[in-house]
Amino acid sequence: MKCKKCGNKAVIKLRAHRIALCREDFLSFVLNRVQQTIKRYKLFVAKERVVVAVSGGKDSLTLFDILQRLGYPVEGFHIDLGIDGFSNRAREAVEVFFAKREAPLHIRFLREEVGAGMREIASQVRRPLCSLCGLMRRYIMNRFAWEKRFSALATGHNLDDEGAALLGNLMRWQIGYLARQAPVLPAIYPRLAKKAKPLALLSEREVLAYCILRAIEYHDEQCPYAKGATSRSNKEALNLLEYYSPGSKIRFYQEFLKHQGIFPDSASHDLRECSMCGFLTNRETCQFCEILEQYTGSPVPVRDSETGKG
Amino acid sequence: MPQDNLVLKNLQKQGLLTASKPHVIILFMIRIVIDGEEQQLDTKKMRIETLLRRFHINPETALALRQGELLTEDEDLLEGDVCIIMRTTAEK
Ligand SMILES: [Zn+2]
Ligand SMILES: [Zn+2]
Repeated sequence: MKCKKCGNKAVIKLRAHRIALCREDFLSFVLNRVQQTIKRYKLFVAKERVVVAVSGGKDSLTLFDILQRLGYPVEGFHIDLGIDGFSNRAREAVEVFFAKREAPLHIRFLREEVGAGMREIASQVRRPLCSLCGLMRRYIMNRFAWEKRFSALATGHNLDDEGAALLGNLMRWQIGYLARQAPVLPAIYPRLAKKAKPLALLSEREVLAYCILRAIEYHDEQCPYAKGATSRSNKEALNLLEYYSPGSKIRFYQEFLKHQGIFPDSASHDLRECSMCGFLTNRETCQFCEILEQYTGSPVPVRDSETGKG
Repeated sequence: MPQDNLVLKNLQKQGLLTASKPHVIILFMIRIVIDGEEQQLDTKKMRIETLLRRFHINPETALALRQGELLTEDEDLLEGDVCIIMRTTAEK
């Protein structure tokens, strides 16, 4: 198979785009795709300070690599979840990656943030661990981005992640989620950092191919607490549709974004400041502060000295 | 060695390894690694496309590598090749 751009030997066929590309042209294709996503959905502009949430997995490290190559002044942020072995290996992958590039990296430990690592928390709580972990990570990432005055927090969600989330939201008709699922969530409230997903138009396969071609050494290990998440079956379902009708995934997601206005966003009206930490919540005390009280007996101090005034 | 057993079993199934033909020499073999597990195909040549179909792998969720090089699905694997199939379905 030959590269559609230059005629050299192709390394990948992209059915959704009806092209096959050689190594060099595929790498440029990926960079262009991310740049288009950033511009089309107004994720951020060249001068903005962007922090990338890096787990150590292929998506987040690929995202950092791409943003750096595109010339954005990016820094990395990693949360060590305190899962014996697993978290050490994830952190090591991140540290090696950043050391090689001499790029700025910030690390926080869940154990220091909430007084317990995921292993201790797992032994005590009954609620689904992945949702609890996600909640704590989102909170810590948002607070970090806001405190350090980054203008955007970028995450490595790819097209398969976004498609699976969209399918899940539609299957349950979660109108509020449907109204807000987007490649960018602007910082429309105080203490809320802008969220951006620059890989939203790249399939997981494209991200993996980029990672392999750039020889990015990522942490490839499933979290010991992850149990057959529904996102996985949603991804498989979408990829089956993609197989029979190439381009389905990207059409499903992009057409949704075009028509998203039909879903009213009522949930945002209920948002208020947490009585303890001041960050946004839809209850009196946010769930993070509740967890924190459980493990340390004290809430998060409100950090007014870091409100971004100067 | 479990892999050797697999090959022997296949040969027995095909009637190539019997008491009357004890000295079968394996001339062709392609090794593949899927989800970290090695498998052997006793064939001289196989298209990646065919390989994925045989293992019920959706090409939209997989990439094939030979000696660290990405391959398109129209490429043929030849005897002596080691092919790694990387899948995208892992959880994050
Ligand atoms: Zn080319
Ligand atoms: Zn709070």
